[in-house]
Amino acid sequence: MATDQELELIHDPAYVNAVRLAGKGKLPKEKAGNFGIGTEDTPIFPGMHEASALLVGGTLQAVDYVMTGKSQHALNLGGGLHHGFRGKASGFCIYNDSSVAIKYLQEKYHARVLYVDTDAHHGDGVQWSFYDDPEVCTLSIHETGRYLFPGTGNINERGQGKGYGYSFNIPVDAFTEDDSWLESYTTAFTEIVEFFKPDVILTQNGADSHYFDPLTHLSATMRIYREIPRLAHKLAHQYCEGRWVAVGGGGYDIWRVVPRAWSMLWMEMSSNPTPTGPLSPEWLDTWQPDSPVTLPQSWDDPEGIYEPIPRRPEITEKNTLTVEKLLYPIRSNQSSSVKPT
Amino acid sequence: MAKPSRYLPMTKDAVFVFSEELLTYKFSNDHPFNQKRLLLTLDLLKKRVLLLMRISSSQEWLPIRN
Repeated sequence: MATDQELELIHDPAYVNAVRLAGKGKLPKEKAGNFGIGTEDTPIFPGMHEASALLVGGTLQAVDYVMTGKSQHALNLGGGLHHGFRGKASGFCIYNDSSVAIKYLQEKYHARVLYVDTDAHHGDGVQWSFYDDPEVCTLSIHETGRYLFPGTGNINERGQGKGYGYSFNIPVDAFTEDDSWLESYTTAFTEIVEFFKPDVILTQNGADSHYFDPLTHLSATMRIYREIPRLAHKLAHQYCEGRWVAVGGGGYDIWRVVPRAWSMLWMEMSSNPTPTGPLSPEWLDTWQPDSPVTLPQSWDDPEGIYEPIPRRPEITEKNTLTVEKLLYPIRSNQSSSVKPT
Repeated sequence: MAKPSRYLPMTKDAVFVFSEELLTYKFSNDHPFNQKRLLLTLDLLKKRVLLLMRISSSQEWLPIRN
């Protein structure tokens, strides 16, 4: 479990105290509101401090494994709570394990961190934590905030002060499909890692961009969950001697999407081939009785899980333009630095 | 490209950090954030995961094999 001192790398002591009191049923209602807890999204529950500090501890443990060389990669699927703020809970997130982990990576290991967030919601808590810090680079690819919580993650949020130019956002259009999503992700991640040259990569692996996800409006399939970790894995080896920490995140179709997506992530991290073909019959037999929906029969989604998207060309073009605009500053810097003499 | 290492050499490919206690992060029965998905994932990965379980009262992580 993360200690108070670790939590306070990012969080206000008054907030940690309020969460602890709330979890004991001792925080007055009117005070809870100031800290973003006791809301519909982030209600109070018994032991909420301990449960939240535990998952932060898991992410710190993952960091220690990687940075002390006990392991090249480490995964904490209980983490990825990217909406937590310094003094406020938000969007199901109480303590922000990724923000704490990045600060911990800076203080304990003096590492430059590239944070890559593929959750369908903008990774706002992490972005704002390091918005003025040029030693942390954040990249978030998410559904545009026009119709979706938290509403931020616009392309013009590029950082401030010394941190200007180290915050990257790709707000993709609603109904974006695999090809366009993957093209945006691959292009941006590949160019940003080359630009920033991190010591370690931290990926947030929310699994809520899938067409089936009930809270978002994207049209991705399992294909992206096979490819997301594949690229992260390759780039971690290419730029960071393998140092890669991964956490979970959102993912609200817990039956049809998350187990397959996160299994793919682990298989990729542990250098196993990502699975294909039918899902384990034992798994299906075990869980189908509990599931309110018919479980998928194979690792990949069959063709046609959704009706064709009529605006596909416009959406694709818009996303391509977004990525071009996003990367323009680092592309123009590169070309100016290699000018012939 | 990667800079010369300031860190120790690597010994394992990957570790999976897990404790059943992660499931205590639970707002309510009908809240969309549901960590039962961790169990569903682990079960799907069964026998493929080198698990590390953290014991609640101590600072140690014990490796266990499924």
